[in-house]
Amino acid sequence: MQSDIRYDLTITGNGSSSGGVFKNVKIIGDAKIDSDLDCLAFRCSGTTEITGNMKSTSCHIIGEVYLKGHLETGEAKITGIMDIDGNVKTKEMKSNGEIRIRGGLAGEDVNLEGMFAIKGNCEAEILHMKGVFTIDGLLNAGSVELKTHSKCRIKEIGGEKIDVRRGTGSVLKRLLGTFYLPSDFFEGVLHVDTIEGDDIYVEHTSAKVIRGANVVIGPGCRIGHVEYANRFEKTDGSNIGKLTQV
Amino acid sequence: MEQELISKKELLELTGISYGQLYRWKRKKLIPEDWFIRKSTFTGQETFFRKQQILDRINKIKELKDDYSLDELADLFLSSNESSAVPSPNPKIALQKEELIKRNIVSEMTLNLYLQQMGDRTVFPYQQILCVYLLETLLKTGELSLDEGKMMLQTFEEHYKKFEGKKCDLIVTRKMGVSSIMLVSSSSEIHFDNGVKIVVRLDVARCIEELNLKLK
Repeated sequence: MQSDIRYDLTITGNGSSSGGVFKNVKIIGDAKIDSDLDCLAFRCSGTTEITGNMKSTSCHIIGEVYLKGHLETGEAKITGIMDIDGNVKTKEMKSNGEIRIRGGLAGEDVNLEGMFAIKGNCEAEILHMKGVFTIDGLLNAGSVELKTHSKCRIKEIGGEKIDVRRGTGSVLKRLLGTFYLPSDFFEGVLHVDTIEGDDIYVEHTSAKVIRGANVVIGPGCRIGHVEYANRFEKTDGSNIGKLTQV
Repeated sequence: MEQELISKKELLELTGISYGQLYRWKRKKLIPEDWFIRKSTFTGQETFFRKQQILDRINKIKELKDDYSLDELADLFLSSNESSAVPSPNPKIALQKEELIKRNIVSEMTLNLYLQQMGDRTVFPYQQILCVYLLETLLKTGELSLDEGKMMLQTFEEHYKKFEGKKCDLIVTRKMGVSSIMLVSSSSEIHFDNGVKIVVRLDVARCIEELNLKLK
């Protein structure tokens, strides 16, 4: 680096930048960044396309961001669309929009609502997810709380505390839903291959194998095989193929 | 070399850790991703590990986790994770004679033995620190006599360089009261005749890890 001074970058309207090191980056409108971007605060209320990697301490997206490389950020707040080809590394992440990550996601405190698709693994200390999601890799978190809407799919879940419930949605939506939407619209279900954890609660889930110390199976489940060590509970109306205590 | 595999379930039973712990360690990169071997079994996919490798690692984590944070452990293991690479000896570190004792790396007795044998010096580069540290370890456990210690010092100083970038073990044997010291590469198997007793086989790479922790 030639100089230590970071300057601001503001793009309003239509513009492009060749990337580099900046202090605050503010994009209102349409922007294209043709290389890596390193900044402190990143704000986008519009559409941004970045062809390189992005590094920032905070990242607010109210719009769309398309990123070809990896994202490394301290804090991320997304109310829009984020489309990333690489991996995402973050401390804190909050999202109310749509997220597509073709790499993996690693974070500490991750709070996602809305729609998201993650191709790789997803790691966090605390993870809350609500909405429609697909994770093709392993979901590994200290505490996992999932609220499913519609059809969700995760390959594997591993962690200490795992809690899967059907999402309820707002009252208004539910009322409207009874009239306008197909009857099974809010029926959140989760398909998963294996769940392994210490304390597990699942409902409306179909899984091949669930292994854990304390396993509670709520309503609407179809589980191929449950292995538990200490405690097992099951609500009526759930199917379990095989049950073993180890 | 085909190693014995152990399934995840057996591993947890054997070591007494829980799924949560295993996943947390994996998340913290204490157990590298490529140690998880997926295989399909009649119950679907199962995860397996190389038995010796994973047991060593887990025992080590259990042993050290009270004294060090998981992140510190991750840093420590990172160097040894690169498959079969030697934990990076830190050639930049050199310590003063007094500091070795002050930082509790070696006892005064061991140090004196070393100085007596190898000549007096005040500054110890990394390789010499490692050498005294090995001596200390062996003497402390009582596996080596002072004379053997001297022999070991000479062997080590002379031949360790040849293992540059490779893992090696230090073996001490005795037969009819005559002892010998040898350095062999870690993966090699050796067999002796019946009269030979292997006093100790010391994994040098592991000692480097321990030493690096102490030097921090």
